[in-house]
Amino acid sequence: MATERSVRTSRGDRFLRSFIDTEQGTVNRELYVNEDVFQMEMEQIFKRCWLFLGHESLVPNPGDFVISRMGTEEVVVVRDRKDLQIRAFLNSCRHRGEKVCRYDQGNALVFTCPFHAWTYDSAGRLVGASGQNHPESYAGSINKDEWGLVEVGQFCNFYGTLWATWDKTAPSFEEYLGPFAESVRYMCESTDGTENGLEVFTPFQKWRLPTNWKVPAFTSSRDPEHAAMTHRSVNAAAIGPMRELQGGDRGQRRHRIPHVKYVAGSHNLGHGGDWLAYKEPGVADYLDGWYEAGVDDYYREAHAKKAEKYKNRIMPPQGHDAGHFCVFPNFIMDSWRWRFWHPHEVGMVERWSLFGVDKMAPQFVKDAVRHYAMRYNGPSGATESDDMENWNYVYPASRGVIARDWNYNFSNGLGRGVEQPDAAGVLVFNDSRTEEAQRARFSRWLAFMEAESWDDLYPVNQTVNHRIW
Amino acid sequence: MSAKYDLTGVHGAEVFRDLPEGVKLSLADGAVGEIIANAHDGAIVILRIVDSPKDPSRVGTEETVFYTEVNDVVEDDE
Repeated sequence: MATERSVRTSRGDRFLRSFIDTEQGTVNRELYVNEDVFQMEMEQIFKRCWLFLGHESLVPNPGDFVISRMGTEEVVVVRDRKDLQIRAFLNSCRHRGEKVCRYDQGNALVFTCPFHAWTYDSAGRLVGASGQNHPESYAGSINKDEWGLVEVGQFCNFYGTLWATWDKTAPSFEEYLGPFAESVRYMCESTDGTENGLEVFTPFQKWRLPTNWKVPAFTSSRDPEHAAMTHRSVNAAAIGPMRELQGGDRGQRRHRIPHVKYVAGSHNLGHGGDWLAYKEPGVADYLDGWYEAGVDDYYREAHAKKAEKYKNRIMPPQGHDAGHFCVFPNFIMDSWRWRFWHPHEVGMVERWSLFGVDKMAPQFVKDAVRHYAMRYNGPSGATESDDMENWNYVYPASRGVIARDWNYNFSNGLGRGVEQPDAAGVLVFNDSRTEEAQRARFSRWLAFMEAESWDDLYPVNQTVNHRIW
Repeated sequence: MSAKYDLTGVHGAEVFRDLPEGVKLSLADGAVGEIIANAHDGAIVILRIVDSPKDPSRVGTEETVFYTEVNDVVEDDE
């Protein structure tokens, strides 16, 4: 049974719901700067939701591992040496809690805790410990079956993307994605339309920002009005992928397939972003544009194969170049650019970015894509340094006793959203430059914060409508 | 003490770290195992038990062994 919850503030307790003004379309800053809210988010949201961990190409071989995060906690993602399955475990020894893996990525026969040598195999089983058989120590008394690493509640390899939840009662990952599953599948295709056709560059980008996790995670997915100001200099310099102002012809190519462009948000699921409802089958023409010789030749040929695959199929609403969408709570998929936000503290978030590339592409194509990703994205790239400037200053400018009295404005398009027929709250369509998707995230956010269990949450509970505005 | 692999000296950890697969180790409980994998961390090896006078059922099983459980390297001619 969902219950209204309150948090402590410097001016007394307040119900969470009271921080969101659904009539005016505003959200109080306290939700971004309050320590109690943050701790409740870890408990209510990050312990229950499906979270993005990485991509299977990070662990291609038996014993390969990569460290990822689920909320504030580290997990070891490892491909087992025997059954070759990928699993994820809390990176914390069962004996005294030390990290059992202190490298970001690599290959390991076993994970040995550097404290007392409790040792785990690549399936997370405890297989050894200092003194395990010594007659004056454990004398063989450790029940190894009971002391394996803590494994995630559920794990899913979805077309190469790796996801997990701590909650064994959570719905399946595909149910969790709902109508966005097809778009995630599509974004894992290579350019020629091969399913699960991507690999990601390593090492991938990580950097920390002194801001609340929701500032970027709830805003940078379909935030259409920020680009004209925030990225003005990048656009003016024409250093985008196609070296043309405002994306040039490439930015228009999707328009060659008749469609209606929306911002769509699922208030019941929290996912949302760009949504292009195509009216005819097929893919748009390929337009040349790469600097590097031969790269267009590769993509043109690959694109023709995809065009054949989709000649009688309607494209998913978020195909390549169709813009951003968010998978609640902290993952943003933007074509082959995958970004996720790991909260560390109420005012500290770590941003990870993975860049996908066709796994079958020749090396010179992979190099070209990697160079583009480096110059355009990431902490030293062009666009995200623009964004970081804003995200950084939002937090300190919102913490003060005066500042936190005032609400952020999420009213763009408020009242104009139209629900998908026969599926209340599952999808709400709005005009293409509105903040519908951001409001959808807050609907889902509040539902999670107040839910006792998945029985209170869509889609386990099909009768609820989490839409608050 | 093994003449080829000295696990007792100041470089014992490095010698243990580099023990190749196939080398046999005698354990403190009297069992003998053959290295089938070395974590190369100076601490852990995986053995297949080849002799276990106190518990013959261990023969053929794989065990993950911490270096403190190892007595010595068993030379081929022993």
